[in-house]
Amino acid sequence: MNANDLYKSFDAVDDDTLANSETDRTRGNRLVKWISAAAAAMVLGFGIFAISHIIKSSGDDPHVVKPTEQTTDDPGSLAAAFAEIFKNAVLLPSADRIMFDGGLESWKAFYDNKGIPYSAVEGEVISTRYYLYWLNDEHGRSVAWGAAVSEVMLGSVPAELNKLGLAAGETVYVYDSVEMVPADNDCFRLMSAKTGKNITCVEDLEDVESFLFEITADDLVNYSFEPIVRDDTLPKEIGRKYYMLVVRSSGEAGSRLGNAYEQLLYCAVSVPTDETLGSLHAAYGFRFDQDIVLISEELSRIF
Amino acid sequence: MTDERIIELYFSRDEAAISETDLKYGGYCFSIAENILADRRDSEECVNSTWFAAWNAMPPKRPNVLKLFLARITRGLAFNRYNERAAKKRGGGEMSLVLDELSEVVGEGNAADEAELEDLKAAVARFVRALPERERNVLVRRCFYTESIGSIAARYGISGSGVMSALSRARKKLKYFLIKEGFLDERK
Repeated sequence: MNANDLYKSFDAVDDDTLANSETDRTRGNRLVKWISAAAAAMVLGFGIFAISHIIKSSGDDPHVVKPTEQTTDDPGSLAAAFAEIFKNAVLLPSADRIMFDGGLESWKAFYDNKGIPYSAVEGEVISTRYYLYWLNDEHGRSVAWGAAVSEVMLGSVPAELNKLGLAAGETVYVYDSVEMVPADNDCFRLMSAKTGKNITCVEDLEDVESFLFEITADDLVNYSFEPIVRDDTLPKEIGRKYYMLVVRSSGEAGSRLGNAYEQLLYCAVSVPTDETLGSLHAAYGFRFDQDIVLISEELSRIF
Repeated sequence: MTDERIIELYFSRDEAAISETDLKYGGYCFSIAENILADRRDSEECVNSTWFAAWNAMPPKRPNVLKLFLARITRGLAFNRYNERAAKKRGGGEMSLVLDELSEVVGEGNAADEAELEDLKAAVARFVRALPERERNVLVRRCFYTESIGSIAARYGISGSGVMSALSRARKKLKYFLIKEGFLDERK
């Protein structure tokens, strides 16, 4: 089979699907657009904070923090919940780069447009462990939120990253935010009300990123974190390709993200397979669908 | 004129069927061909060939949706012409980019035989139906209509990077779907 065959095979897409593509029902839904874009930002944000914490506590020697069995003893504590997740996250000490994944092409395009240099690392997921939580607001409304720690075997690694302890065949453990869907979009509207800002569509990642860092910790002060499950029975995504994008955080990126982030090495996220999403949906009724509704600078206070 | 009436013209072998079809769907079919061929003259010839093929197909074929019936014909004819041109090293354009993207999914294997292709078509149709709406639509605009990233972004009011991100996700999912269904070797 080759690309020609695959292209031809789209001829069999049914009439309804073709007709529906003429007019997208999600078109014009600015909230959904914002949420979709915010998903990418959340990935970035949580990853950065996670790595920030680990880097601060790790000294200067490259090391890997291996995930351990975890339960959350203090279900009411946002700090405890995040701390437990991030305790299992990756990775290495101070450096001048940030590494991304999750919409690799988007991030590449974003940094290409900015003229910010980057290099990419490719790896392969060997196993993944999920941590799923309900995030409750003060009115009892909840959103599902998940995190995962993936064991990733690195493939090709640019030589410039070897000095950071990254090399082909190395196994690293990577914090991975699992996409979530709100119980309802009111949760997001609540945040809007709290910030006093009229949250509308953001057209590109830069807007999302700037918004991310505008949210204050007070916005989420009344939220609590309740773990609902840690499940080791979910399918291991063995063989899934894992891509990471490395970006220098000095210069424009560093100044835009702020001094606090200049020492970060990387964050990385990957997109679960259909099989995984299907299992999660079947087991817990979640629809993991790109719709992330919460972005928290609360993390900066925690760490 | 309504589609039903146009179809009746075909069935009564009234040559006005061609002019009415051209009037109503000429631009639509031209844009499909042009996306693939990026050549006005070739695209116009493709559209004319579409009318000829439609004339030969109806009767006995009675399409459920005339517009999409014509779209499939145009797409097939244009892609055949694209491949003829590619053999003469006159490829390029959006079609070339789409094929490159699909190569990321399937690699550079040998062409499928007819039976394999039929199985693949059925599988891809199932896969596309199961995608979330936004990804489904973006993938269809890219891989069926061969639309550019910019056109898709404008159609749905999203950024170009948003389109690329959705396509990237869809291709990853497609690859693992094809592995799971046995069309691709997991080790490759």
